[in-house]
Amino acid sequence: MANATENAKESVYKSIISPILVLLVICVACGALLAWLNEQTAPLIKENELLATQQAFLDVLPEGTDANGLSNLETTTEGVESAVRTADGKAAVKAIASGYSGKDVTVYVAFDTDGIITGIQVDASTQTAGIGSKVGATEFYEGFLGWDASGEVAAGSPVDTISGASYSSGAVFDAVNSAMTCFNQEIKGVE
Amino acid sequence: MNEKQSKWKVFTNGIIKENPVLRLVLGCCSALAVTTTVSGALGMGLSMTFVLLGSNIVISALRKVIPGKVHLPCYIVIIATFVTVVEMVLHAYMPDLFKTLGVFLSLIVVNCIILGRAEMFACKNTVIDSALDGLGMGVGYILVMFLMSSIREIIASGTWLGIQLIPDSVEKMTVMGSAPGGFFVFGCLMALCIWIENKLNKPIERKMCGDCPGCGHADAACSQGKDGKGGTEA
Repeated sequence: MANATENAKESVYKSIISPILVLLVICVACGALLAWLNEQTAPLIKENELLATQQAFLDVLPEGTDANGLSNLETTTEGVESAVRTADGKAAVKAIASGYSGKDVTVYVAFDTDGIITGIQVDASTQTAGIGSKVGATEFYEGFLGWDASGEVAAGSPVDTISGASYSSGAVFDAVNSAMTCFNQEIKGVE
Repeated sequence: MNEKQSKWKVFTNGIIKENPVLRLVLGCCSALAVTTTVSGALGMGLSMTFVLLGSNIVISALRKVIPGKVHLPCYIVIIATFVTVVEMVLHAYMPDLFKTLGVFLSLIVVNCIILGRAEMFACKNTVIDSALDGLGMGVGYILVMFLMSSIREIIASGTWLGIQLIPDSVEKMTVMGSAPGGFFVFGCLMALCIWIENKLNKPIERKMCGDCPGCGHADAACSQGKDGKGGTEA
């Protein structure tokens, strides 16, 4: 009798408690390790992202812009992720629109004080290579240079849609429009 | 089985004879998806090898502690931890590579090569053998990724590791950069691997179903021989 009870006890331990304990210990150990690592890497990741955005803004702004003179602007325009203003009133806007199969196309647009587009960069790395990725080529987006932010852009004005890549091209038009809306409503004339 | 396998054999097993991608046909999703550029493929291969090595070592070290009933959840937790480590480190120190690999980095968690090696090898062998097996499989995976991506990048974009090889004036075969081209290269490499194997040694007799350790029908369960119950629920 006593033996049978002991056996039953042992089998309960073996079949239920021990698996739960082992799994629990492994999960806690892994969780602790990851929490520690997250604490180490999270600030670096955030800094990298900020630096990358700032570098992209500097790339579209006129040469010689001082990185320290940039001030971040609060923006609520739909499709606009962030915006900066330089010490002398120029501005750069980062706008995102969804391109082919819903993947984001990121556009950086720089405006001078009058709202003329002076610089633009398109990141189309998410789009289909060889087709949609063509909107990331200088030949396509340099057509936007000199455009006045008071008028919306659309297919054909100022640049034509790339044939075969209408979704990706459309995303660029959308993003540029968001950037201009942001400039007109939140940057121009607001001090 | 362990006694017969020399350490060197355990290591080289993953390169030709049991190459994870070309012979076991595991982990094809990532092999097809990230081999459009050589740099991405190498990054993926290295991340994968790290996870494979780490999880093989830990699982093999814990093989006597983990009860058969919960072996799969335990393996997944261990593998997921290693993948998250890679993810965080890449995101912090190599953001460009992190961006290229995208979702496929997190998908290493469910990559069948890693779970497959845990089930087939690490849970039955010593830590050193498991580490060698993980390294060998990783090297085999990297080799395939490197070959595939080299072929695809050169034909589809005319570049190799970003170096221009074919002038821009030549029209590229962009289909090689998309899924059909990936399958095409995959098939050719598979045939090549079998050809090399046949050249190197006598054709290996393929065993009948149930005898081969690489097959799901075989005694894949680590619980077997431990508590005599055997059988994996997977």
